[in-house]
Amino acid sequence: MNVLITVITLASFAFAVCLGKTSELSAAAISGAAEAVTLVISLAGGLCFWSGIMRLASKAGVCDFLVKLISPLLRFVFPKLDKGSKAVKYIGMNVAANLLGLGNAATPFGIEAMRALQALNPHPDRPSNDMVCFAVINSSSIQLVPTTLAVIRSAHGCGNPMDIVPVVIVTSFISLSIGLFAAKIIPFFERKKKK
Amino acid sequence: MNVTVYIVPVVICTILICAAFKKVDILKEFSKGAADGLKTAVNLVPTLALLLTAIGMFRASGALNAVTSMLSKGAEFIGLPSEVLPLVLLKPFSGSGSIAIIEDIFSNYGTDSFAGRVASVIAGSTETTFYTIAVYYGAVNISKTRHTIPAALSADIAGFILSAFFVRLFFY
Repeated sequence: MNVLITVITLASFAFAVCLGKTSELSAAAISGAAEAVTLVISLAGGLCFWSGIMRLASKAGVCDFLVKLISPLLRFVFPKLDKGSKAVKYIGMNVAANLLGLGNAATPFGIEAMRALQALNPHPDRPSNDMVCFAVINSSSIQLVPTTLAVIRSAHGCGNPMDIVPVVIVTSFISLSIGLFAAKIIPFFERKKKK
Repeated sequence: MNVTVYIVPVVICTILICAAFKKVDILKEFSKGAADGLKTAVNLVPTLALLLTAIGMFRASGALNAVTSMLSKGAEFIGLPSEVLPLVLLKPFSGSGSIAIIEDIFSNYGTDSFAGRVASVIAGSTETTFYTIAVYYGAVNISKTRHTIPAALSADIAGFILSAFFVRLFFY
């Protein structure tokens, strides 16, 4: 990231000189940081509101309900794990928190789940197949109501900031399935190579 | 009549009813959560101050246009509008960077343009892949990742292509 920012800035300067846009460049450089503050102020109310609402949701037991709802799916993805094991419990809580968009709550559960999976891992120097699947689930977004995105959209005057939700859910579901399919199928090719 | 206008009120009412039913101290718990949200927002400022400046300079200098028009043939081939290319390139690496790019796309093309909608769907359906993998494997001291990166990236790439495909299907 540090290198990227330096490269972007130097490239901007070079392009601005070549294209004769140096005055636009300085204007952008001066106004950029102020934009950050106005952007965050326009988002702060919405972020506050939704993280308050989602905290109410988790206190009201919506997370536990979601855990129950998704446990058949989890058994399908992780068939080798015991139903009552610590790993399954933490994976369920991590996925439920992610569905609600509670990133700050999901990460500690996710790390506990990873530790529990690592305890079952026969080769602790590299991830087990289950660990790969779990990492893939967390590296693709499964949030049901994309609140931060909706807040940014409405800050830009969007009349119906949630109109993209059905498309987001369909796209997330299919792309996660493709990722999990890849995670399941690649080890078979690896085994063949070794033979 | 578009059902999506019901999402916000229905979500809020359902959660409030559940909370009241479970006798949650609504005001107290809401304020605790809201305080967390405010902290998240405030913590965004220092990073965004640099990132928005860098992206603003990149656009103002004409460099952004040069890069996207260079890659636009490839983007068109998979159906992506070239305006969202910066988001596609940055999303797997940086969450706050993606917020900065989305902000830039919305200000320049609008939220309900084709590019604005595709950018929204990409933002909502993909994650900061490399960061997440680093955090989770770092927590258990694993540095070999086996097939994690190819599998996770196949989900991201599918997400990018499907975003454009489904936005066309649902909206146009």
